Amino acid sequence: MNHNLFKNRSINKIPFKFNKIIKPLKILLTNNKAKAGFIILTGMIIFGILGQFFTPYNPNKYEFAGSMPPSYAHILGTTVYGQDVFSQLFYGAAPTLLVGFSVGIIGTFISIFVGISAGFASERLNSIVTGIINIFLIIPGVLLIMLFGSYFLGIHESLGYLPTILILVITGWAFGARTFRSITLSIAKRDFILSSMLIGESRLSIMFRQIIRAIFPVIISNFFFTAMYGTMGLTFVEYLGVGNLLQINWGTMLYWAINNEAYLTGLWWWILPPSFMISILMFSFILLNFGMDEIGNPSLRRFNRKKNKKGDINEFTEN
Amino acid sequence: MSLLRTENLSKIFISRRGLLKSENITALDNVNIELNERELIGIVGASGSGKSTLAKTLVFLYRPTSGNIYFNDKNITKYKSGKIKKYRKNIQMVFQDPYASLDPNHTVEWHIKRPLVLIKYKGNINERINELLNMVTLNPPEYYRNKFPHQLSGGQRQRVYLARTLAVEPKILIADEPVSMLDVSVRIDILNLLKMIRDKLNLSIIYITHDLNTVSMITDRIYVMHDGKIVEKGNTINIIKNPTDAYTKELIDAAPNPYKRI
Ligand SMILES: Nc1ncnc2c1ncn2[C@@H]1O[C@H](COP(=O)(O)OP(=O)(O)OP(=O)(O)O)[C@@H](O)[C@H]1O
Ligand SMILES: [Mg+2]
Repeated sequence: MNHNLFKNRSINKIPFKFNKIIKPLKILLTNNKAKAGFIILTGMIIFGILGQFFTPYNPNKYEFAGSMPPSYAHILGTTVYGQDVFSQLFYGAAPTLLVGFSVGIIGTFISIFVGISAGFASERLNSIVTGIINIFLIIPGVLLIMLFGSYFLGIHESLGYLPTILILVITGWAFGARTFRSITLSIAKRDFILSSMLIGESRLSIMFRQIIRAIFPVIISNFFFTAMYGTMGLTFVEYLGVGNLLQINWGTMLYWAINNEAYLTGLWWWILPPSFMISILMFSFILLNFGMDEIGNPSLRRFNRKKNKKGDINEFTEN
Repeated sequence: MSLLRTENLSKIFISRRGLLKSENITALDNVNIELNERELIGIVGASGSGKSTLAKTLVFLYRPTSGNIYFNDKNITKYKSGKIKKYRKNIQMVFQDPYASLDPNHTVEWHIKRPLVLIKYKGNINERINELLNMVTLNPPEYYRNKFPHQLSGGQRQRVYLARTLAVEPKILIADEPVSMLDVSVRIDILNLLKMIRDKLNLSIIYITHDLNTVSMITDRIYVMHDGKIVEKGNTINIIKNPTDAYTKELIDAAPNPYKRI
């Protein structure tokens, strides 16, 4: 009997380190929405990476006849200015993704930090930080972007990627912070946190060792939400024309297409591809966001009995 | 000299109902209890009588509305964070629900290691973990160390939790209905474990329960609690045989007779 028990344990132990990377991914793939989102997003990332090396033509050069419909040589046709649309789409994927991801990562970090400390620190700090969060929630991000944008236009500078990311982070972190704050408030009342306070853990230690672990699915979900906001924000900034319009991304592509009234002049091959790609990217972020929410919030989860037939215990079931 | 004593301890919760209305709930009403060294006392009361509130007030998870708490005859009611931390090295609490008191993201080993690290345990921490697991009869310890809470039964979890509190090496242990969520068959084991711990480690234990059967098995003295008030106190056997308070009589009548059943 004992022998058997030990055997089991050694089996469990070998793939332990490997597990640490694979396990979150596996959890992600147990949810259909998350799985679909993950596959689309992976496709997008591969598309973005390849686009940095293998564009059929130079995406910056105006070297072809303008307004050519899709053909064998130009599968998505050319712009009014004679650029190859597919090359632009291919090349512009990476910056679009990068801005989305950067806003997602930086924004989520800030909201974790602010949200958890508000939810778990003293009452007074909580109300101060909650006030700050609410102020940022009330400020309309769009207005702020336009304000910054027109300022930059005024001084004859255009918003590069870095300032764009910065503005989007400033306008986008508060929503996640509010989520983290309220979740932390409810977790802080749970017995296993009270227990840690009783044995003498410091609040900082509880924050890092327990709360962040407990809300991990929410962190991931929030990352995708903020990344979606980042992508949308970039598109919006570029669409308003306050960004640097010489940068190639899906936002600037839309700007030029719409500015040249591509939708009126019948250049659908110019306007549709970036719109389509942006929509698909946002869709994948939304799927991942919803999926992770379901994983993290048991009440949203439809329990899948088939999955558990193997005798596996679903790790995220609230026991 | 008593180890822990309360003096007219009261706790009033103010619960808001809507914007303007608020309702006061008197969870503790002038409670006086006393715990001596190496004593195992019981606090008995029906659901909602304020037992958990009393336990949580004694470990400073709640602040009393009025009254005093004495530890070693020293008034500690007004203690602030640093001193509370020191005081908690002397007193630990086992929670009612073993399914909620262990962190689902951490192993058994982690749960016992943390208090050892925090009290700066001098010896070999690894050996000490095994020792503690043995003490709560989780054998062999190596088998349990890497388990996560969801891989354990309720009884096993409560043992792990007990080991976690014992790692702190407290003088007092408050067990808040430690077996109410458990299977009847496991209850006796855990209660015997409490008794054994008291005898072996010279702990003082406050055992909280709504169940008169289990309280008569292990405690020396009991307090009967009703609506936040202590309505009766004294030797366990005496009270169960000759209850003077009407509420205690009710409780005893309501409880199934253990001698009939076994
Ligand atoms: N945090 C709180 N806020 C408001 N009211 C509370 C709070 N905690 C407890 N109460 C109230 O105080 C009273 C006593 O609750 P307590 O949990 O101490 O009872 P108990 O004796 O432990 O009951 P049980 O056997 O069900 O655990 C109840 O009426 C309860 O509603
Ligand atoms: Mg209770």
